[in-house]
Amino acid sequence: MTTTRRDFLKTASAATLASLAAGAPRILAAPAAEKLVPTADTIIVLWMAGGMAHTETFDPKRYSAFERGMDPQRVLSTFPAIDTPVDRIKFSAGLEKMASVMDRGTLIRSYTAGDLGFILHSRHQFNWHTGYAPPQSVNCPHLGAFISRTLGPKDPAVPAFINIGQRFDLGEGEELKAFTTAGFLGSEYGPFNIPYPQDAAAAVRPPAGMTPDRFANRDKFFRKLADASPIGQFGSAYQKESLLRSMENAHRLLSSPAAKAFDLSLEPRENVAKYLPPGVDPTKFNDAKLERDGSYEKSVLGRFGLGCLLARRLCEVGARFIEVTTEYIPFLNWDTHENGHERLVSMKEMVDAPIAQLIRDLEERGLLDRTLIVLASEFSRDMMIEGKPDKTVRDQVKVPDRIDDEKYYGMHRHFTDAGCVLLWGGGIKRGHLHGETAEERPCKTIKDRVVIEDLHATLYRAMGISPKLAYTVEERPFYVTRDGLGKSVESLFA
Amino acid sequence: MRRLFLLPLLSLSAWANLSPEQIAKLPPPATRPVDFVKEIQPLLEASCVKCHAKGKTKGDFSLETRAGFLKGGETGPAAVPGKSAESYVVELVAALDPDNAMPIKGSRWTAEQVGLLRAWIDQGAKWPEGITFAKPEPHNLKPQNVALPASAERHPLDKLLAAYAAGRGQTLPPAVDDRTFARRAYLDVVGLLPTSEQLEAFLFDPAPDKRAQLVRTLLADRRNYTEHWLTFWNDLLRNDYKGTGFIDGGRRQVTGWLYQSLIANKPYDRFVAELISPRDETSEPFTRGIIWRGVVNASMLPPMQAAQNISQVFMGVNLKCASCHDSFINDWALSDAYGVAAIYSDDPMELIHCDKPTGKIAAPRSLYPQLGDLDPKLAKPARTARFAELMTGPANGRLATTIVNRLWARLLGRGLVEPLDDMDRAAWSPEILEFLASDLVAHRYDLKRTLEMILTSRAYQLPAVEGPRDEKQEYVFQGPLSRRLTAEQFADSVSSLTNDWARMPATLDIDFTVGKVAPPVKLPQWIWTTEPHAAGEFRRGEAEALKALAPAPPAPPKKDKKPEGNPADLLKHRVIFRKVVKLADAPTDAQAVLLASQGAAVTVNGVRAKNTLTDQSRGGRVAAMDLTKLLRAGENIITIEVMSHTDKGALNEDEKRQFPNSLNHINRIPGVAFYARALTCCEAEEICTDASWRVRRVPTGGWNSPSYDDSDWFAAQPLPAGVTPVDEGPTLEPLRRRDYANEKIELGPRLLAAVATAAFPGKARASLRPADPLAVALDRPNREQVATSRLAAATTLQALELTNGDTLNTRLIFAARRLLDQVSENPRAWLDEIYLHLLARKPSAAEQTDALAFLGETPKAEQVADLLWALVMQPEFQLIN
Repeated sequence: MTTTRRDFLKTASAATLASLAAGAPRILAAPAAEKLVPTADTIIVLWMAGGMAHTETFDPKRYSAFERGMDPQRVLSTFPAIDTPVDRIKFSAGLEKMASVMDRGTLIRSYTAGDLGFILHSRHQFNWHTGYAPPQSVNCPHLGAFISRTLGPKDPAVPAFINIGQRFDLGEGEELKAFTTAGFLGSEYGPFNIPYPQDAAAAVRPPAGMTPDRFANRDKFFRKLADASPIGQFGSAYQKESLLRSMENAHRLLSSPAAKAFDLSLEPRENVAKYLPPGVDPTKFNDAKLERDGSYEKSVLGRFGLGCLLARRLCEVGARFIEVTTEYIPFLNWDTHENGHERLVSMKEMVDAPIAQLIRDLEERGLLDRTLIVLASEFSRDMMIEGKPDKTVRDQVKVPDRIDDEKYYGMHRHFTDAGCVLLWGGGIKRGHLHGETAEERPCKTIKDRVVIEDLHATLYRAMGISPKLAYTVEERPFYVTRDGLGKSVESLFA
Repeated sequence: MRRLFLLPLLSLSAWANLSPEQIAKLPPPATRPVDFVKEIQPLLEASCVKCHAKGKTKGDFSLETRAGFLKGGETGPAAVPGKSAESYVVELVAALDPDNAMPIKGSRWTAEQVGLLRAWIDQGAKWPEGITFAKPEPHNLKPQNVALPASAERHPLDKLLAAYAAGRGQTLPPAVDDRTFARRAYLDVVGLLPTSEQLEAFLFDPAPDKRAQLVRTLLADRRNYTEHWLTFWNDLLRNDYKGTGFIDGGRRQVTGWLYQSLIANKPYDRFVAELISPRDETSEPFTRGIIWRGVVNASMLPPMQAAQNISQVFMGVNLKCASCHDSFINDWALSDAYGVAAIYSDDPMELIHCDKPTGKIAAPRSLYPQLGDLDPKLAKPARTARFAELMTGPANGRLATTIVNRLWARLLGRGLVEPLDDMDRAAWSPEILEFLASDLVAHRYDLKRTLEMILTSRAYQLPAVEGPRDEKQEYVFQGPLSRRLTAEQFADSVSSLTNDWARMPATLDIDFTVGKVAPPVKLPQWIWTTEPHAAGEFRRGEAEALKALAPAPPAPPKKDKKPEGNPADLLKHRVIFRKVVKLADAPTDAQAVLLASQGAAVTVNGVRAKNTLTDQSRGGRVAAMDLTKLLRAGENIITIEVMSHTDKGALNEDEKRQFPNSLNHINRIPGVAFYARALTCCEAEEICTDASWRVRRVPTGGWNSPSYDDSDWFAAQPLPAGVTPVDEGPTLEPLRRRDYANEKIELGPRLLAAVATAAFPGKARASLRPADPLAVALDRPNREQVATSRLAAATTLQALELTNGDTLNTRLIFAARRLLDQVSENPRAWLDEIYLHLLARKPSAAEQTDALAFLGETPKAEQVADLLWALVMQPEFQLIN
């Protein structure tokens, strides 16, 4: 006796169908005591990849203008400071727009990266995004994957974990793939990657060259065959059902209003302009030579901004976790090993307008209260110190005794003992400052240190997830914060 | 360790000398008879055995037997039968003194539980004969002989299966039909769909034993067998072509060794021995592990990786938890994990417990002492050899049970033991497991024999069934599970549909001349130059090398041209090799490889050849390139530029002090070997470096032009036999590790493999290619860790990739264009063929009508592509039923 799919669906219970969801790892019972009320439903991570110098951005110190023959030991900041609406907080020049929205959020100046030995970007990025230091004996999930697995999508048509702005086929792409993954949770919870935000629409459209009519016909034919295929005769009804279900989910996205959100060409031009640095042509982005002379940054000036715009649009249709990155390519963007000052001018131009606009737009649309925005980087920079002040680590960059050439003028070494993290929305305090760093070199954290497991615990807590939540892999409980030790920084919440 | 009393052992009463008030505080004993097995044993198991049984003796106390329990430990006897108030154990579990309470780890006993214990002691502490808390005998470790039951069945597995079914009152359904069997067998043995011809040949074959014959034929197809099972072993041995850790030579491939082993069907015991105790660098990378940059947790140092991976893959033992502390999920201890790790460590290993040093040094030992001794005083090579002996010796039944279980799971969808990596559990049929294991051993560990045994059995030929919904319930075998095509099988199916295959494999490590995959090749010679630098200058190391190898250097050239261009250090050491090659015709395909001691680049007719493939762990010193569009009929000018010096990675002061003898980036012999194979319609022309090539240091410009005069260049010198250039090695961070900066790699062994790849006849299956977005969406694992199974669930992201992704779409359009003529000529016949190929059956009348209607009167490539898409999206296609 054979049954058709229709018959099968009639008899299968809702529970059965629900259990067709992917993947093995079972959730360990979340600690009963904690009943967390979420203050946010969506997270947007603005990832300043490459090591964003704190004294050149959100924690300015004494300013030294460039002079031939200057002593590098004296140089802490290469930009003067500017005011923000918040009394105690000044920013570095070049971030005027972001300064104007500082009163919507919290600035942490005391983020400290883990001690992973020889400073390597990919390893610190892994640490930041998974909460664990690599290598691990299991395939670690990304923060977005944990959230996708735990909370699911906000709107069923929008992939729960979206990653914007990073290409994986150049630079240290393999190292990046290692943590941009759902790991042992299973690929259902993996990232939906959109390296080029201006092409995002293509990701949710039929393949190139296929008209909507043809797409619909193809799908109709596929279904006809599937429906007629006798299930009972061929083994696993459940396997079949889950395959067809996944196709339905995919199709739902493609024909839903959410799909339109991916299409930046539908955004009014005057709005798009607000997300771009002045004078940037949004139609010229894709090919930028990977030169280390600052030309790369100038030619991709608008890409991050468009990513922020895409994030806003996705937020409007119900996204759960979005990461927008300035992109990590060794020695480019924030990863300044030379010409630090000059490159920071471009980088600040790259991020200032779009981030401020994103915050204002979400606020205007009444979405900011339930959307948590996090800006962070894997570590900071200093001119003289490599790593932590008390540890000897191999120097990545030579510093001359006297600076005669502007290429040495800037923060070029990796500094892990301080760092800036900004948080807006999602129940976070407004106009708040957390942590303090020294005024003289080393400009390290001197008050209220925040480490990655506590930062993650704070983000999870905002989303209503316990930092002690664990999933089993190979019978081992794997916690969403390192060994379940993360403690949310409660003073950050309003 | 709790040590409250340092008094010598006194009489019994001195210990449990509680005051009357304290006794009054003890929970009262229960007032009924207490059953040891039902009531006391579970309490002891929950609270005590982790530290005081199964081989553990904390505080010198073991309660494995009643005698041991009563005897007690450091602090005296645990109990006095009949007198619970005087029994120390009662005082401890009652937690009268919170600083001296048991269990140390775990919940406090309730008053009721203490009462039960008291009652049991008062009632004489009766403990049934034969009950112990000793470490149970590990499952599936000791080889067993299996007596086959008497049966009408002739196949040994069928006899066992019949007994299993009879024992459960099960009637087994008849075997699946021929077409289902054929599709399964092809996909399972060689990973390919049967073509319509192959399928029809099988269906119409009248031989009564055709199924067994098919299995044997497929197993004998060495190349396709290898390129299918390569995936299985790549997953298990965490072997990949790209990935994390390759940077700076921290990770290497075993691909060359693995391919060769599979083609030769190397006996499994030798296969394992060569991995565990490698004789050379070809199989060493598995135990070498990944040498990560930066600070690495003690539990992930290479020797620990070796311990974890060997145990997981070959013994079904999980040592990952035990790498930091005594495991909470099984009985393995930290010292067990370190014992195996110490076998692989060059230096003594200190046990690190949860990131804290313990001061104890690990003694090398194998996992199961019952397999034999490993003398800890052996030096490393002898140690690993002894370990290999123990692992592959006749006492270790676990080696065979683990692998046959994996093979069974691969073919039937679920193991005899689950999970596959936890072999210390009972199989749902111990007889079938033990039979397959002993059969493998008895037949020289021939894995193909085991595969044949399973594939020809009734178990494999039963209709596919639904998987168990609830793993907690006891598993009952009723047939194979429906399995999903792997990412590789899916990709290869699409390729076979379209006959569109990738041209080059992803690696230069495989010697494709084995198994005659690639034709025999002519090896190029290693060539170099004896011309001195300007003003007789040499880089460090070159002078010594020259003295050792070269005759007296030739006289300087007659025309003393000054070098032009950039006077920077780098250009001073550039060496150019040049050759003029005449080809009869422009090639239809021309692949080349280059191996050089330093950075090198090939220019053909003035155009720089781009590398299609480089050997990551050699920093590009071994590279492949496609010269098809660059070579032409007639004269071709080929020049190779080799840099003979770098100054990368100079050590800082700290490092120079730490590694005073480090010869970081010594440059010995700037040499190169180059091979190109140009195919035309009628022949293959091989272009090799040899003494006819010309060479010059820093020549003056225009050497890529055909009219260039190279008469004042020197003849290239072939290196003496057996001498190869030396790759200067990776630029690893030497701090806290041995001096990897000095690890040189001989390029010689790489030569044949690289050349064979250039001669590879262009049909690279998915297993030989790196992962692409489609493969990743279909769950091809990131092999940074060992992967012993893949999740087979359908995900939305997969569906999105399959529906919108460019990878699949491009391939289908390409296929459609190729097939269009055939389709237009006779759509019905073509439809039959497509269905036979993809689904191993002809379309039903309804399907035929619908498909023809879909194609329309005059189908275009789009309709064909869309039809193909609809078919490969069918669950019936994606599942192996």
